[in-house]
Amino acid sequence: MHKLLINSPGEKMLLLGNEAIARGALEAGLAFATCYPGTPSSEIPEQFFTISRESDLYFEYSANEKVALEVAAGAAIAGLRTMVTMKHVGMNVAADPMMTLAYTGVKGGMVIVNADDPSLFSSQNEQDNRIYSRISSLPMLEPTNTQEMKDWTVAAFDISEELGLPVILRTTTRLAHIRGPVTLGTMRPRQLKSVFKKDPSHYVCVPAVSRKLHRELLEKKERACHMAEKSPFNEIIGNGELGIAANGVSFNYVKDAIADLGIEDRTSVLKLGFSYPMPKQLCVRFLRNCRSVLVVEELEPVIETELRAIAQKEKIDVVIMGKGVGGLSQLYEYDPRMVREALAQFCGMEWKGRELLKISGFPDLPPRPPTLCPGCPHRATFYAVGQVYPEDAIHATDIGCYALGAMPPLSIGDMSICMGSSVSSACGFSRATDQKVAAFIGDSTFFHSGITGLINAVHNNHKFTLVIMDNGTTAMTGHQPHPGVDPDAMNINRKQVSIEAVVRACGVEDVHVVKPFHVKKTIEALRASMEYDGISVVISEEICPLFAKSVGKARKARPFYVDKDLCKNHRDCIMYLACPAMYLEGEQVEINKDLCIGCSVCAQVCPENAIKPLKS
Amino acid sequence: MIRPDPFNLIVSGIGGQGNILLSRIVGRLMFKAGYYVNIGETFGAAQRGGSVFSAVRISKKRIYGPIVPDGHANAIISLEALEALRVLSRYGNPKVAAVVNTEPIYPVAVLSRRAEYPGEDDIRRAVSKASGRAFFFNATRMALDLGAPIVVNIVMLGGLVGVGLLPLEASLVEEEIKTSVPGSKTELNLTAFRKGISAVAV
Repeated sequence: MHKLLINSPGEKMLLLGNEAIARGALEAGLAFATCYPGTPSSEIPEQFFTISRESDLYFEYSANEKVALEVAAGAAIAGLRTMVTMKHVGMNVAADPMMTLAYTGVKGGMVIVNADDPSLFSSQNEQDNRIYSRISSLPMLEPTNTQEMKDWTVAAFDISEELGLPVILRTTTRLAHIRGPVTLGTMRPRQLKSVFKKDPSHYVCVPAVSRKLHRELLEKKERACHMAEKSPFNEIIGNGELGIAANGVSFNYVKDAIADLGIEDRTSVLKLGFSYPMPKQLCVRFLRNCRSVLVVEELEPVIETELRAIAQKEKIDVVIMGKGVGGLSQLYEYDPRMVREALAQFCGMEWKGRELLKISGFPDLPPRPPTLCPGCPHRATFYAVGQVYPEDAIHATDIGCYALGAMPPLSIGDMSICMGSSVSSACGFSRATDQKVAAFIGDSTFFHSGITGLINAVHNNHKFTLVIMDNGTTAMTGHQPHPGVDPDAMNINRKQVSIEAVVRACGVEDVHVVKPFHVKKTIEALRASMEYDGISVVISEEICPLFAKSVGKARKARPFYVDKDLCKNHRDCIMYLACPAMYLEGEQVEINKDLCIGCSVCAQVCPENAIKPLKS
Repeated sequence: MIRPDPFNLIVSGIGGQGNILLSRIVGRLMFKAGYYVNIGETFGAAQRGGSVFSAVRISKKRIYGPIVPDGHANAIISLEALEALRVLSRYGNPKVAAVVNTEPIYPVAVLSRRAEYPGEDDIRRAVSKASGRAFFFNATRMALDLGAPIVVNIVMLGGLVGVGLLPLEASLVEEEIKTSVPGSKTELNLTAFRKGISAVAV
């Protein structure tokens, strides 16, 4: 039995934040879950994926976040308890349905889990999605530790049903990826089927309906505000006249800093857990009791701005500070030292903290960014592209492991902003310049939001090459399935959608399918495609070696070695490929046989044919 | 009891080396022994091949936040030599104990000569300077001797237990290893663990 299904209330477990959320949903009787994976949210649906194989929970990896939310909306309006999970930029994709789903509301409880990524551990931006609750009017909960992540998820379903509104549960990377103690609660039964009652005056959002629904939404928001006032998730701790307001992970740093500085008696802390709508009366009480207030919140000054508005409206004479105090800024995540410094400064204390090591005399530390794995097929494809395209060619790339191709020595990747942008931005580049243009997109990203761009390219006669780098899985987020995966390899009961068939159905006439480990043939296909007068697609098919290993389909190839009698030290292998399996022993290139998967690409690149398979 | 409280353990290495499993085993054992444990993990395939570390914060008193304050590590265990230095340069202090795998793994920039990897002696000197006690051994070599480079993390776990900084009883650690790895790999992992213990035995 999956560990999250154990029905033993009171038992303590050490759970990952994301596992705690999954457990909370299961305790609340979750019946239906959808998602498109995205770091740092992916471990929530991972639990559902496994659990759905051994229980009656319905779970699907949807094509993208918009689809995931719409699928769940159908189920929630019908009456089931649903959860949709996404990373912060995924909410941009889901924003279209979300804004109007707020108007229709839901019948079964719906919790939308949104994981923000301050410091951009694995994202293209660090937008603050608390703002989404403000433009959608959807209530938001922001837990501060693993126990709350579990408990408040359960509560979020109840709040959702009481208001008839989806509730957003917001985490950040540090919370999603904490492992901490959780005391389990009781499992409630799931309701797996419902009957939809027709009510077009509530669910068909034409203008006349939506005008009425917007009014209803504002009424619901008013009720949500009353709930936030009474919610135990919001509290004032202590009664000193130095006020500190905090949310999410920052609350932990504030708590630690107050204990460290010994200022419990001088401070009062406003903890905002049910953070939208803001509990106005509670805030008024907090502000009236304080001489000055410091807001400790990562990213945008959301609480700071709203507290100022409340103080102004209620004519409360209090100094409110936040961004700009100590190191507190709109940039990146906070850390304990920064918060201690800010609190000390705010309280007028001298605090130096532990003196940091003098690292002068340390050797320079070479940076170690993530890299493409040994034997990654993307490396082979990019090598071939580099051989075909001129120096000034424009390479529009996309979101996925292959974004790492932009780094030297491969250096293929000139622009990437969001999922699917490679295809559409290539349309613009190819019209605006006379340079050669190629776009690069992964298989999962192609299904997520590349297809529309391709149809656009065909219809509007754009001229460039789209390279679809099909490694048979959603690799970067941890090998989740997508519509194009081989269902047998993953042992899932789903239909496979052929990328090639989709491409042809979009109207593309010049289509090449290549195996990137066949370097020469790949180069030929890319050249023909580059010279084609119109939109051309190259599908580069080779399974992600890590995924292959995890599903028992690893290559049965021998690792390679460098024959020192033949090697003349051109170093083309290192200069063009820089596979992590290669290393230098003195001046001699060697291959680590434990890392090499035998893709043979370096052997094909070597001008002296000095790289050979090891004899078994 | 542990001292100091909270005790901050940092496990560093390179994405894919298994530092998460190591920190989870330590965290679970201390949790079972009745401590409050919080593990901050940096992971995801997006981190593969890059510098990663996780932080285990252990206390009898309460839950601490997920990030260790700068200069406040009590022990660091590094699956790769250079990464030990990277972590120490931020979290090191004159009291921290460091357990370091001496086997280097070269970043891509070093391979193509855009950056230089420090010499082993330079690394040892700097690690010793940035810590109170330092233990060096080649865990990768030991793992390779067992025919399984993958168990380098378990060798290092043995090193941590052998150093005796945390109240971790070898027999209990072995029980935890048994529940954390596939059945067919149990013996291999237990052997790796014992090799790690003896590597730091004086």
